Amino acid sequence: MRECANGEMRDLLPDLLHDRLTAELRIVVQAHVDGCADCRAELAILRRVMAINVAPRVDASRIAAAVPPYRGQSAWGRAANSPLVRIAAAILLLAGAAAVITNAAGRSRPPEPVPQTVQAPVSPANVEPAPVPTAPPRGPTTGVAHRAPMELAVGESFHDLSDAELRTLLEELGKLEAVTSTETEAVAPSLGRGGQ
Amino acid sequence: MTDPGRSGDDPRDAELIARWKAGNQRAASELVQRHASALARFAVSCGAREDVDELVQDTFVRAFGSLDGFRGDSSFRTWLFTIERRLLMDRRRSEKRRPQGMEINEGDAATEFDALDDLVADEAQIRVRRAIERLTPTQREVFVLRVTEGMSYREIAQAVSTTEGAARVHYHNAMRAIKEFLDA
Repeated sequence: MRECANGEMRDLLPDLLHDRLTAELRIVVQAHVDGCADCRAELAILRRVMAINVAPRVDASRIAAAVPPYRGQSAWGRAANSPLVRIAAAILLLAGAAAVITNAAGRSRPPEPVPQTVQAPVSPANVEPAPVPTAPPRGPTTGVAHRAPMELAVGESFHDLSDAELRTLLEELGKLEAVTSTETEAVAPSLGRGGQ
Repeated sequence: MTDPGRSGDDPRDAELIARWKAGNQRAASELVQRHASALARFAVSCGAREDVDELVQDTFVRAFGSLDGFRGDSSFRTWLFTIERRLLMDRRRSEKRRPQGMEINEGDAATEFDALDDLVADEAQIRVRRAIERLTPTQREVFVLRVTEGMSYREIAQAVSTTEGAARVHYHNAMRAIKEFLDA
Protein backbone atom coordinates (compact mmCIF):
# COMPACT_ATOMS: atom_id res chain seq x y z
CA MET A 1 0.00 0.00 0.00
CA ARG A 2 1.46 3.31 -1.06
CA GLU A 3 1.46 6.59 0.81
CA CYS A 4 0.07 9.78 -0.68
CA ALA A 5 2.75 12.41 -1.14
CA ASN A 6 0.41 15.10 0.18
CA GLY A 7 1.11 14.88 3.90
CA GLU A 8 -1.22 17.75 4.72
CA MET A 9 -4.17 15.92 3.21
CA ARG A 10 -3.25 12.65 4.94
CA ASP A 11 -3.08 14.58 8.20
CA LEU A 12 -6.68 15.72 7.79
CA LEU A 13 -8.24 12.34 6.98
CA PRO A 14 -9.23 11.56 10.61
CA ASP A 15 -10.80 15.02 10.83
CA LEU A 16 -12.75 14.30 7.66
CA LEU A 17 -13.93 11.08 9.21
CA HIS A 18 -15.09 12.85 12.39
CA ASP A 19 -16.56 15.79 10.52
CA ARG A 20 -14.22 18.19 12.27
CA LEU A 21 -13.34 20.25 9.23
CA THR A 22 -14.76 23.59 8.28
CA ALA A 23 -17.11 23.50 5.30
CA GLU A 24 -14.52 24.96 2.93
CA LEU A 25 -11.75 22.62 4.01
CA ARG A 26 -14.04 19.62 3.87
CA ILE A 27 -14.71 20.32 0.20
CA VAL A 28 -10.98 20.59 -0.51
CA VAL A 29 -10.08 17.39 1.33
CA GLN A 30 -13.00 15.45 -0.11
CA ALA A 31 -12.01 16.55 -3.63
CA HIS A 32 -8.46 15.33 -2.98
CA VAL A 33 -9.67 11.98 -1.65
CA ASP A 34 -11.94 11.49 -4.65
CA GLY A 35 -8.95 11.79 -6.95
CA CYS A 36 -6.36 9.96 -4.79
CA ALA A 37 -6.46 6.16 -4.54
CA ASP A 38 -3.85 6.12 -1.75
CA CYS A 39 -5.91 8.43 0.46
CA ARG A 40 -9.05 6.41 -0.26
CA ALA A 41 -7.24 3.27 0.87
CA GLU A 42 -6.02 5.04 4.01
CA LEU A 43 -9.50 6.32 4.74
CA ALA A 44 -10.81 2.75 4.43
CA ILE A 45 -8.31 1.65 7.07
CA LEU A 46 -9.41 4.47 9.37
CA ARG A 47 -13.05 3.42 8.97
CA ARG A 48 -12.14 -0.15 9.93
CA VAL A 49 -10.25 1.10 12.97
CA MET A 50 -13.31 3.03 14.08
CA ALA A 51 -15.51 0.02 13.50
CA ILE A 52 -13.41 -2.34 15.59
CA ASN A 53 -12.89 0.05 18.49
CA VAL A 54 -16.29 -0.49 19.97
CA ALA A 55 -16.70 0.69 23.52
CA PRO A 56 -17.37 -2.11 25.99
CA ARG A 57 -20.45 -1.72 28.12
CA VAL A 58 -19.89 0.31 31.26
CA ASP A 59 -22.39 0.90 34.02
CA ALA A 60 -22.53 4.68 33.91
CA SER A 61 -25.12 4.96 36.68
CA ARG A 62 -22.97 2.91 39.06
CA ILE A 63 -19.95 5.02 38.17
CA ALA A 64 -21.93 8.22 38.69
CA ALA A 65 -23.10 6.95 42.08
CA ALA A 66 -19.46 6.57 43.13
CA VAL A 67 -18.73 10.22 42.42
CA PRO A 68 -18.76 12.07 45.75
CA PRO A 69 -20.64 15.34 46.08
CA TYR A 70 -18.63 18.52 45.78
CA ARG A 71 -17.22 19.53 49.15
CA GLY A 72 -15.55 22.73 48.13
CA GLN A 73 -11.94 23.46 48.57
CA SER A 74 -10.18 23.76 51.88
CA ALA A 75 -8.46 27.00 52.82
CA TRP A 76 -5.11 25.33 52.16
CA GLY A 77 -6.29 24.10 48.79
CA ARG A 78 -7.52 27.55 47.81
CA ALA A 79 -4.23 29.07 48.94
CA ALA A 80 -2.21 26.50 47.03
CA ASN A 81 -4.13 27.29 43.87
CA SER A 82 -3.69 31.03 44.24
CA PRO A 83 -1.19 32.43 41.71
CA LEU A 84 0.16 34.87 44.31
CA VAL A 85 0.94 32.06 46.72
CA ARG A 86 2.61 30.08 43.95
CA ILE A 87 4.78 33.05 42.98
CA ALA A 88 5.70 33.65 46.62
CA ALA A 89 6.60 29.99 47.03
CA ALA A 90 8.76 30.11 43.90
CA ILE A 91 10.58 33.23 45.16
CA LEU A 92 11.19 31.59 48.54
CA LEU A 93 12.51 28.49 46.83
CA LEU A 94 14.87 30.52 44.65
CA ALA A 95 16.08 32.56 47.63
CA GLY A 96 16.76 29.37 49.59
CA ALA A 97 18.64 27.84 46.70
CA ALA A 98 20.70 31.01 46.26
CA ALA A 99 21.57 31.01 49.97
CA VAL A 100 22.69 27.39 49.84
CA ILE A 101 24.82 28.00 46.72
CA THR A 102 26.40 31.11 48.23
CA ASN A 103 27.18 29.26 51.44
CA ALA A 104 28.74 26.36 49.55
CA ALA A 105 30.81 28.69 47.38
CA GLY A 106 32.09 30.52 50.46
CA ARG A 107 33.26 27.27 52.03
CA SER A 108 35.12 26.09 48.96
CA ARG A 109 36.91 29.41 48.33
CA PRO A 110 40.67 29.24 49.18
CA PRO A 111 41.90 31.53 51.94
CA GLU A 112 42.91 34.94 50.70
CA PRO A 113 46.69 35.41 50.58
CA VAL A 114 48.15 37.60 53.28
CA PRO A 115 49.51 40.71 51.64
CA GLN A 116 53.26 40.83 51.82
CA THR A 117 54.59 43.59 53.92
CA VAL A 118 56.83 45.76 51.85
CA GLN A 119 58.17 48.82 53.35
CA ALA A 120 60.30 51.57 52.12
CA PRO A 121 64.02 51.03 52.30
CA VAL A 122 65.12 51.37 55.79
CA SER A 123 67.30 54.26 56.56
CA PRO A 124 69.05 54.65 59.83
CA ALA A 125 66.66 57.41 60.70
CA ASN A 126 63.54 55.36 60.55
CA VAL A 127 64.83 52.16 62.05
CA GLU A 128 63.14 51.70 65.31
CA PRO A 129 64.04 49.14 67.86
CA ALA A 130 62.09 46.05 67.21
CA PRO A 131 59.84 44.95 69.99
CA VAL A 132 61.31 42.35 72.14
CA PRO A 133 59.89 39.08 70.96
CA THR A 134 58.48 36.91 73.61
CA ALA A 135 59.85 33.46 74.01
CA PRO A 136 57.87 30.90 72.09
CA PRO A 137 55.97 28.62 74.36
CA ARG A 138 57.56 25.27 74.78
CA GLY A 139 55.95 21.95 75.11
CA PRO A 140 53.12 20.39 73.23
CA THR A 141 51.11 23.57 72.79
CA THR A 142 53.77 25.36 70.76
CA GLY A 143 51.62 26.49 67.91
CA VAL A 144 53.84 29.53 67.53
CA ALA A 145 56.94 27.37 67.26
CA HIS A 146 55.85 26.26 63.79
CA ARG A 147 55.27 29.73 62.56
CA ALA A 148 57.64 30.96 59.86
CA PRO A 149 60.68 32.75 61.21
CA MET A 150 60.03 36.38 61.68
CA GLU A 151 60.99 38.44 58.66
CA LEU A 152 62.52 41.82 58.94
CA ALA A 153 60.27 44.54 57.75
CA VAL A 154 62.74 45.49 55.04
CA GLY A 155 61.50 42.58 52.93
CA GLU A 156 62.42 42.63 49.25
CA SER A 157 63.74 46.17 49.32
CA PHE A 158 66.62 44.95 51.46
CA HIS A 159 68.62 44.58 48.24
CA ASP A 160 68.12 48.22 47.40
CA LEU A 161 70.00 49.42 50.43
CA SER A 162 73.32 51.10 49.91
CA ASP A 163 76.41 49.83 51.69
CA ALA A 164 76.21 52.63 54.20
CA GLU A 165 72.57 51.89 54.93
CA LEU A 166 73.37 48.22 55.34
CA ARG A 167 76.13 48.92 57.75
CA THR A 168 73.86 51.14 59.79
CA LEU A 169 71.17 48.50 59.76
CA LEU A 170 73.60 45.83 60.92
CA GLU A 171 74.74 48.02 63.70
CA GLU A 172 71.19 48.57 64.80
CA LEU A 173 70.55 44.88 64.65
CA GLY A 174 73.67 44.24 66.60
CA LYS A 175 72.29 46.40 69.34
CA LEU A 176 69.08 44.43 69.22
CA GLU A 177 70.96 41.18 69.47
CA ALA A 178 72.80 42.55 72.44
CA VAL A 179 69.57 43.23 74.18
CA THR A 180 67.88 39.98 73.32
CA SER A 181 70.86 37.73 73.12
CA THR A 182 68.98 34.75 74.26
CA GLU A 183 66.19 35.15 71.78
CA THR A 184 67.83 35.83 68.49
CA GLU A 185 66.65 32.64 67.01
CA ALA A 186 63.61 34.13 65.44
CA VAL A 187 65.40 37.07 63.89
CA ALA A 188 68.95 36.03 63.15
CA PRO A 189 68.29 33.26 60.58
CA SER A 190 66.24 35.57 58.50
CA LEU A 191 68.90 38.16 58.61
CA GLY A 192 71.52 35.61 57.72
CA ARG A 193 69.63 34.56 54.63
CA GLY A 194 68.80 38.08 53.74
CA GLY A 195 72.46 38.97 53.70
CA GLN A 196 73.22 36.74 50.77
CA MET B 1 -8.94 23.90 9.82
CA THR B 2 -10.57 21.75 12.44
CA ASP B 3 -13.52 22.72 14.52
CA PRO B 4 -12.18 23.32 18.01
CA GLY B 5 -15.60 23.22 19.59
CA ARG B 6 -16.40 19.64 18.77
CA SER B 7 -14.23 17.79 21.22
CA GLY B 8 -12.23 20.69 22.58
CA ASP B 9 -13.37 23.09 25.25
CA ASP B 10 -16.93 21.93 25.42
CA PRO B 11 -19.14 24.60 27.00
CA ARG B 12 -21.61 21.92 28.04
CA ASP B 13 -18.90 20.26 30.17
CA ALA B 14 -18.07 23.57 31.81
CA GLU B 15 -21.71 24.18 32.56
CA LEU B 16 -22.14 20.71 34.06
CA ILE B 17 -19.04 21.13 36.20
CA ALA B 18 -20.40 24.41 37.52
CA ARG B 19 -23.73 22.79 38.32
CA TRP B 20 -22.03 19.90 40.12
CA LYS B 21 -20.04 22.37 42.19
CA ALA B 22 -23.30 24.08 43.05
CA GLY B 23 -24.53 20.82 44.55
CA ASN B 24 -26.30 19.24 41.61
CA GLN B 25 -25.26 15.58 41.64
CA ARG B 26 -27.20 14.87 38.45
CA ALA B 27 -24.70 17.04 36.61
CA ALA B 28 -21.98 14.57 37.60
CA SER B 29 -24.12 11.74 36.21
CA GLU B 30 -24.47 13.54 32.91
CA LEU B 31 -20.72 14.12 32.71
CA VAL B 32 -20.16 10.42 33.31
CA GLN B 33 -22.69 9.54 30.61
CA ARG B 34 -20.99 11.85 28.14
CA HIS B 35 -17.47 10.47 28.55
CA ALA B 36 -17.59 6.98 30.05
CA SER B 37 -17.84 5.15 26.73
CA ALA B 38 -14.85 6.96 25.23
CA LEU B 39 -12.78 6.22 28.31
CA ALA B 40 -13.73 2.55 28.20
CA ARG B 41 -12.92 2.36 24.49
CA PHE B 42 -9.54 3.97 25.06
CA ALA B 43 -8.77 1.60 27.94
CA VAL B 44 -9.54 -1.46 25.82
CA SER B 45 -7.57 -0.08 22.89
CA CYS B 46 -4.60 0.36 25.19
CA GLY B 47 -4.75 -3.25 26.28
CA ALA B 48 -6.87 -3.15 29.44
CA ARG B 49 -8.71 -6.44 29.51
CA GLU B 50 -10.05 -6.67 33.03
CA ASP B 51 -11.91 -4.28 35.26
CA VAL B 52 -12.44 -1.67 32.58
CA ASP B 53 -15.52 -0.53 34.48
CA GLU B 54 -13.48 -0.09 37.61
CA LEU B 55 -10.79 1.80 35.72
CA VAL B 56 -13.33 4.22 34.26
CA GLN B 57 -14.90 4.69 37.68
CA ASP B 58 -11.52 5.39 39.28
CA THR B 59 -10.85 7.92 36.56
CA PHE B 60 -14.06 9.80 37.30
CA VAL B 61 -13.67 9.63 41.06
CA ARG B 62 -10.15 10.99 40.81
CA ALA B 63 -11.19 13.66 38.32
CA PHE B 64 -14.09 14.91 40.42
CA GLY B 65 -11.96 14.75 43.55
CA SER B 66 -9.37 17.08 42.07
CA LEU B 67 -11.61 19.21 39.89
CA ASP B 68 -10.54 22.33 41.77
CA GLY B 69 -7.02 21.70 40.52
CA PHE B 70 -8.24 21.49 36.93
CA ARG B 71 -7.06 24.73 35.38
CA GLY B 72 -8.84 24.33 32.08
CA ASP B 73 -5.64 24.31 30.01
CA SER B 74 -7.18 21.39 28.16
CA SER B 75 -10.76 20.26 27.73
CA PHE B 76 -12.41 18.22 30.48
CA ARG B 77 -12.46 15.24 28.12
CA THR B 78 -8.73 15.47 27.40
CA TRP B 79 -8.08 15.79 31.11
CA LEU B 80 -10.07 12.61 31.74
CA PHE B 81 -7.91 10.76 29.19
CA THR B 82 -4.79 12.05 30.92
CA ILE B 83 -5.99 10.72 34.28
CA GLU B 84 -7.06 7.38 32.83
CA ARG B 85 -3.74 6.95 31.07
CA ARG B 86 -1.88 7.52 34.34
CA LEU B 87 -4.09 4.99 36.10
CA LEU B 88 -3.42 2.51 33.31
CA MET B 89 0.32 3.02 33.66
CA ASP B 90 0.09 2.57 37.44
CA ARG B 91 -1.86 -0.62 36.89
CA ARG B 92 0.73 -1.96 34.43
CA ARG B 93 3.53 -1.18 36.87
CA SER B 94 1.82 -2.98 39.72
CA GLU B 95 1.11 -5.96 37.45
CA LYS B 96 4.78 -6.14 36.56
CA ARG B 97 5.76 -6.03 40.23
CA ARG B 98 3.41 -8.88 41.07
CA PRO B 99 5.70 -11.94 41.33
CA GLN B 100 3.26 -14.51 40.04
CA GLY B 101 1.77 -12.15 37.48
CA MET B 102 2.42 -12.59 33.82
CA GLU B 103 4.65 -9.89 32.44
CA ILE B 104 3.05 -8.11 29.55
CA ASN B 105 5.43 -7.51 26.69
CA GLU B 106 4.69 -5.78 23.46
CA GLY B 107 4.78 -9.12 21.65
CA ASP B 108 2.09 -10.48 23.94
CA ALA B 109 -0.29 -7.80 22.77
CA ALA B 110 -1.19 -9.93 19.79
CA THR B 111 -3.32 -12.09 22.06
CA GLU B 112 -5.16 -9.26 23.75
CA PHE B 113 -8.23 -9.26 21.59
CA ASP B 114 -8.60 -12.91 20.76
CA ALA B 115 -12.02 -13.04 22.37
CA LEU B 116 -13.14 -9.96 20.54
CA ASP B 117 -12.07 -11.46 17.24
CA ASP B 118 -15.06 -13.78 17.49
CA LEU B 119 -17.30 -10.76 17.44
CA VAL B 120 -15.58 -9.22 14.48
CA ALA B 121 -16.68 -11.17 11.48
CA ASP B 122 -14.78 -9.19 8.92
CA GLU B 123 -11.38 -10.73 8.18
CA ALA B 124 -10.03 -7.37 7.11
CA GLN B 125 -11.03 -5.87 10.44
CA ILE B 126 -9.30 -8.68 12.30
CA ARG B 127 -6.13 -7.94 10.38
CA VAL B 128 -6.41 -4.23 11.20
CA ARG B 129 -6.82 -5.13 14.86
CA ARG B 130 -3.72 -7.30 14.74
CA ALA B 131 -1.82 -4.46 13.11
CA ILE B 132 -2.85 -2.03 15.87
CA GLU B 133 -1.83 -4.53 18.53
CA ARG B 134 1.69 -4.55 17.15
CA LEU B 135 2.18 -0.82 17.57
CA THR B 136 4.26 0.50 20.42
CA PRO B 137 2.16 1.64 23.41
CA THR B 138 2.64 5.33 22.60
CA GLN B 139 1.91 4.84 18.91
CA ARG B 140 -1.23 2.96 19.82
CA GLU B 141 -2.41 5.60 22.28
CA VAL B 142 -1.84 8.40 19.80
CA PHE B 143 -3.38 6.48 16.89
CA VAL B 144 -6.49 5.50 18.82
CA LEU B 145 -7.07 9.00 20.18
CA ARG B 146 -6.62 10.46 16.70
CA VAL B 147 -8.69 7.98 14.76
CA THR B 148 -11.28 6.69 17.20
CA GLU B 149 -11.83 9.79 19.29
CA GLY B 150 -11.04 12.32 16.57
CA MET B 151 -8.81 14.36 18.85
CA SER B 152 -6.48 17.01 17.47
CA TYR B 153 -2.72 16.66 17.84
CA ARG B 154 -2.79 19.41 20.45
CA GLU B 155 -5.33 17.49 22.55
CA ILE B 156 -3.43 14.24 22.10
CA ALA B 157 -0.20 15.92 23.15
CA GLN B 158 -1.87 17.07 26.36
CA ALA B 159 -3.37 13.67 27.03
CA VAL B 160 -0.20 11.64 26.55
CA SER B 161 2.24 14.28 27.83
CA THR B 162 4.14 14.92 24.64
CA THR B 163 4.40 17.61 21.98
CA GLU B 164 2.13 18.18 19.02
CA GLY B 165 5.01 17.41 16.65
CA ALA B 166 5.81 14.16 18.41
CA ALA B 167 2.14 13.17 18.38
CA ARG B 168 1.99 13.79 14.63
CA VAL B 169 5.11 11.68 14.07
CA HIS B 170 3.69 8.86 16.23
CA TYR B 171 0.46 8.93 14.26
CA HIS B 172 2.13 8.72 10.85
CA ASN B 173 4.58 6.05 12.00
CA ALA B 174 1.64 4.05 13.31
CA MET B 175 -0.23 4.39 10.03
CA ARG B 176 2.87 3.32 8.10
CA ALA B 177 3.35 0.29 10.34
CA ILE B 178 -0.30 -0.73 9.93
CA LYS B 179 -0.07 -0.48 6.14
CA GLU B 180 3.12 -2.56 6.11
CA PHE B 181 1.44 -5.23 8.23
CA LEU B 182 -1.61 -5.33 6.00
CA ASP B 183 0.58 -5.57 2.88
CA ALA B 184 2.65 -8.43 4.26
